[in-house]
Amino acid sequence: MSFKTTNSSPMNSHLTSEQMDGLLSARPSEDVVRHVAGCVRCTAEIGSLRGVLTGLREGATAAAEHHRGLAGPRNHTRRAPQVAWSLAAIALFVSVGAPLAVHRFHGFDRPAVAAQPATAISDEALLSSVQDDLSYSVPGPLLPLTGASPSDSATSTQRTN
Amino acid sequence: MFEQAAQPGHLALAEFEQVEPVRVSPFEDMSEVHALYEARIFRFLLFLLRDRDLALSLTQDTFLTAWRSRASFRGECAPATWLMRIAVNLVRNHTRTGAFKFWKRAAETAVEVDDPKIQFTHPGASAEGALMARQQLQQVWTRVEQLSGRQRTIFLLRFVDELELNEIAVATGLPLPTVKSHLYRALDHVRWSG
Repeated sequence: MSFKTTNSSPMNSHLTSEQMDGLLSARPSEDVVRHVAGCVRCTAEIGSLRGVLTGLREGATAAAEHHRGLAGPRNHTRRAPQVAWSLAAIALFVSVGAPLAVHRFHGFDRPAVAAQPATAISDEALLSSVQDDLSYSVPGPLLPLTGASPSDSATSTQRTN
Repeated sequence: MFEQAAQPGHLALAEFEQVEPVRVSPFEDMSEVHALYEARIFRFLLFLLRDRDLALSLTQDTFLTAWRSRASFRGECAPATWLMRIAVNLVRNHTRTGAFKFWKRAAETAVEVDDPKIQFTHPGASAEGALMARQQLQQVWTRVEQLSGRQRTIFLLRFVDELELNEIAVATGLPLPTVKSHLYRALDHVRWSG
């Protein structure tokens, strides 16, 4: 098996990336294993790459855990506006809805339908009492004329004279 | 007479024994699936997108999509591979919009490669050794960031999530030779920083 020199990097002048991936995934061909066993440079490179990729994986795992931890409190801060809106809605209800409700409650407390006949009765009673007052307390001079009075006959006598 | 009556019964029993047992999809118990794979899916999305909030959102979408389409899971691949495929498709759909590219850098929750929090601390290593390892790791992250979207996806699936090549082909929906081609190009690029 021939070992390609894909570029001028000293790190990969012996093994191709395909062969390197085979080594990293623990399924290398016999030729590759034989080459690595006799090649210090490739042994060093595979060791270095293994270390870097392990660090990459472990670093990614640790970082993902870290960011998941950060995301937890952030969700709470995101919920804060929702709580604020809920409180604002409650405050609005208390400031506007509650007075309206109380007003309505008191309005219904007075039986409007029952009050109307009571008012009508009292008005009629008032009118009849006024009528009675008028009929009983009219002074004599204001009473309507029912016949000829003595003064009237006297004046008429004087005129004839 | 009894033999004749018994024969159909035997046949029916034989047929019954040949019927495949009903397989219960692992996605029926979504809470267990979520507990098993959520961290892994989030890690993959976080380092593919470099945006914490977006990664969280797409992680949730991945499990939601898996739950909705759980009937289509036939067990032909591992549950993790199937979830990865959903996640890759969600990322593909999301990154189609040009707005994503613009806001990607400006996002408040963007994850930077030089963030010391994402660097792995090397227990037992000397200060100098840890510094060198950190610098090397940072170089690798920089190289990974320079990869094309497809190469980065395949590289992360291979070396961070440790999927096999055929599993990556399933997860990305790409033919195996294409996966290999992208992976080896990506590895070529990363090896320069080694």
